[in-house]
Amino acid sequence: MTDCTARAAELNAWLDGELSPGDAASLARHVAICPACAAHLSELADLRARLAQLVAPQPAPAALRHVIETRLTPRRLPYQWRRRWVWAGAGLALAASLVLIMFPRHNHETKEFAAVRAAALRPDIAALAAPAPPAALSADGFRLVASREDRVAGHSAIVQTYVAAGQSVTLCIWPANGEPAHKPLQAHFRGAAITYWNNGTNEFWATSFGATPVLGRFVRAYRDTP
Amino acid sequence: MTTEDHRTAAFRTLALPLLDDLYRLARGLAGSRSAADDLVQECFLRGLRYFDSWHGEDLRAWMAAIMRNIHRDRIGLPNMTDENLEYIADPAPDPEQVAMSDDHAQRLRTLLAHLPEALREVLVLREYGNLSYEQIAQALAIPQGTVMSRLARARERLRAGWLATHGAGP
Repeated sequence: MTDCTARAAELNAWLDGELSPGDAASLARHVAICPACAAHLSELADLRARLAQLVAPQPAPAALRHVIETRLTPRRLPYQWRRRWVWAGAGLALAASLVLIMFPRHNHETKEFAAVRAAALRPDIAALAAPAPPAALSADGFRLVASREDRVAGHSAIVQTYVAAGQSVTLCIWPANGEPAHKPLQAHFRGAAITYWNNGTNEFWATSFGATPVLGRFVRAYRDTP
Repeated sequence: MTTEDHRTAAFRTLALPLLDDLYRLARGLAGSRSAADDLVQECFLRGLRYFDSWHGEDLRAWMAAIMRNIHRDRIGLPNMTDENLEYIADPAPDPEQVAMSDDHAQRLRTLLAHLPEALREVLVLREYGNLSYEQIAQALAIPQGTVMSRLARARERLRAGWLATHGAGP
């Protein structure tokens, strides 16, 4: 009597269309006379049908296809383009400012340009307009010098760098996504201070290089609190 | 056109037809549509970036490998395929937890989510990635025999899990 437990792999392969015609015919003959294998086959087929329904075959969404096609369109860059950075101050949405970045003709230009375009077109970043630095911030001596989109701890985030009197503060902003609002909390990580808060719309995480009082001053100025 | 442009055009011609299948694979791996979107975008981005390292092997398997590695990075698993599955404890779902799901689809989703990732990814590549055993073997850099046995084990665990809560086949 054939050991039908050994046939399990064969039954799977048959369902996946991976058996040679000869092996398939041989298995078919066996299944016709073996109730156990026939039942097993039937259960596997039903399982596969249910699995197929779990993630139904669908074309990629038009928006996604558009993003991919745009990224895969060869670009003919004229010889005269120069590198220019556009700072994200004055309340410009980060997405708009990223589009204006241009690169000279080096080997890495395509992948960085593609990454920037992809970042600009990602809907979650487009929706998260970089909040304009509060007026109190510059009044307190902090100047926004750089802004970029990045992935931070699994979040699509905006990362901004502020400088004041030789110290710098990095501020990461990402959508709160339902996390509750809370006042600034302090944490320390490997000797560095991190202050984080949530205003109900966005999460803000600030860390500085240099003395802690800079971070405190920054957070107070950013939140416009005395 | 520059060499860069030619490369981009070549990649576009070869990879774009795989978009729909890669999107389904991404949904199978990642679970949510936004995570799947992200996975697909990152996959094409890396595919273009690494296209110089593609030497004419099966492109579907090549792109699937990229997508699977991105996914593993995101869930914190190493890219090396687990060798000793026998020693990986089966995080079997609590039958009550499965039974509490309000419909058959959700129960199956729960069972699927509880498979060890090394088994789950083979199943996802087969059922949603439209890859043959050989393509899966290439994508995961494992022998075809291992693909077959892992696939059979994955389906068997789902079947057994289903029986534990339903008392009859799925």
